[in-house]
This record gives sequence, structure tokens and C-alpha cells, in this order.
Amino acid sequence: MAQHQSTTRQDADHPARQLVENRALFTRGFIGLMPLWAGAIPVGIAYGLAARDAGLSIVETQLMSLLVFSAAAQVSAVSLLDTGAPTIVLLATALLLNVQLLLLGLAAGREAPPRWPGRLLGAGFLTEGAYGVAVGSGRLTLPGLIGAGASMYVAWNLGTALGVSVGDAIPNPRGIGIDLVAPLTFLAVLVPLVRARPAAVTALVAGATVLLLARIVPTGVAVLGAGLAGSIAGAWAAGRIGAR
Amino acid sequence: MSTVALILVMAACVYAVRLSGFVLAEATIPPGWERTLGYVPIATLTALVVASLAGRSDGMPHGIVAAALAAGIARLTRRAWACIAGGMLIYWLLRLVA
Repeated sequence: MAQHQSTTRQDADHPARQLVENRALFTRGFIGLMPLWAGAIPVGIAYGLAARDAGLSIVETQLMSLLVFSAAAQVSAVSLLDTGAPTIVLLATALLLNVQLLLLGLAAGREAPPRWPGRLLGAGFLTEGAYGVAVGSGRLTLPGLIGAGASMYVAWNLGTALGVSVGDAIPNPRGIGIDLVAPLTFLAVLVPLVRARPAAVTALVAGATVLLLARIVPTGVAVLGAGLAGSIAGAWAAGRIGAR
Repeated sequence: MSTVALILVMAACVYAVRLSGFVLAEATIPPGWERTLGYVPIATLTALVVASLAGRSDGMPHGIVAAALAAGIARLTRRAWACIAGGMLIYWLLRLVA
């Protein structure tokens, strides 16, 4: 009887214990990502500057960071908006730039299979940095991943707000070359990814293709075509040369 | 399409990509596909860098030189802020001297 009562109490304690454990994992993930704020905030500032330079209002600039939460997609969108690219091209480019997140979601889902509420929440905060911190803590857990992602979300939106404020203080942003911020931001994300020969082949083929295509089709379409050609070349090179 | 509508659609698209990984976690994806998908961001980012630099209207190579040196900074430091701030500083210096 006493044993039965003890078991029942343990069962009742289980959700409470789980909640405490999840909270601790979330906090650990949140704090674990904070060193990456040093990278996220300046990129957020760069996005804020680029978005204002491309003609987005303060509200639109911040709304994009609050809802889209993707440096590459957002900077590409404001950069392509500036060239007058059609909406479908903007969206397709944003999707291509985030294909990496599909792969990270696959890895996270295989390592810590979540239920639907966990999937929905985890997907909202999935970024490369958050995944890296969550894996780096030893065992990937969904609360850890969400904590790290939430930390990145705060930094990204803080950086955007700072960028908007700085941008509004500059009277003629284009006159001092603020439009260079977008390609520099892409470079800052791109360079660490090019670690081996197949990645270099990818970059070379994509770069050459976009220069050729841009002569005959609009810039946005050329970017899409080059993205596809480069990735196929990279996968081919990886098959021939070996690891990425 | 208004900018706010574009932001909403873009948010839905990016969220769908993020969610699809979790949803497909139990599915088997051909290794060739998985490998190709891994190179898509590198290819697209490169295309965006090249297109942005080639499309600059000032007619001067300052932006290209600054970007090339900024790539070197990114390679050495692995810090995004150093790449962006360094690239802008180099660009302004080039405009001052040339």
C-alpha cells in the first residue's frame, strides 16, 4: 500500500520534474548561445541599414526580423527588392537560402524526435547557431534547441532595432556606400561555409553562372539559376573529390 | 503585393522549410539529394554576392576590392562583424585615396 502511494506521488511529480528539467535546459541553451550575440547583433545592424536603404519603413524592417528571423533570407529580400525583382523570385531565393535549415531540422528531428507542439515550436527557433550550441552541449534536446534559438531571436531583433536607429541618423546612406553592406553581410555568412574543395567548386560555378545569366535574364532569376547550378556542381564535386 | 504581405508570405515559406525537416525526420531521403541540398546555401549566397557587386552603379572597383579584402578578413577572423566593418572601412579608405 505504502509502495503504491509512493509510486502514485512519483507519477504526479513527473510532469513537474519534467517542467523544471525543461526550464533548466532552455536556460542553458539561451545562455550557451549568448557568445554568438557578438556575431548576430552586428549582422542585425547591417540588415537594418540595408532594409532602410532599400526603402522599407521602420515597422516593416522590424516586422521582417520578428516574423522571418533569417539573416540570409532577409538581406537577400531587401537586396533583391532594390533591383525590382518579382515577388516569386524573392520567395524562391529565401527558400533556397534556408534549405540548410531543412537539413538541420532532419538531424534534430532524428536525434530528439519531438511531438507536434515541440515540432511547431522547435521549427520557429531553428537556426544554424542554435543547432550548433544545442549539439555542442553534449546531448541535443528540444528545450535546449528552443532556448538557444530564442536567444538568437532576441539578439537578431535587438541588432535590427539598432540598425534602424543608426540608419535613420545617416542623412544620405547610399552616398556613403551603405548598399555595400548587403554583399558584405552575405560574405560574412558565406566565407566560413567554404571549407573544402567541393564548396569552392560550388562557389566558383555559382559565381560564373550568375555573371553569364545576368546578361540575358533579370538579376533575381540569374541568382536562382546560379544557386541551382552551383549546388549541383558542388554535389558532383563532393562525389568525385570526397568530403565537404 | 504590399511589403507587409510579402513579409507574411516570406515568413510562412521560411517557417515551412524549418518545419519540414522535423516532419521528414522519419523519412528516407536519397543521399544524392541530401548532398545537393547541403550546397544550395553556398551557391545562392555566392550568386547574391557576385550579383550585388556586379550590379553596383558607381562604376568604380572600390566595392569589389573592399569585398575581396573583407572575405580575407572573414577567413582569418571568422567574425561577421569584422568582415562587415572591415569591408566598409576599406571601402571608405579607397574612396578617400583613389
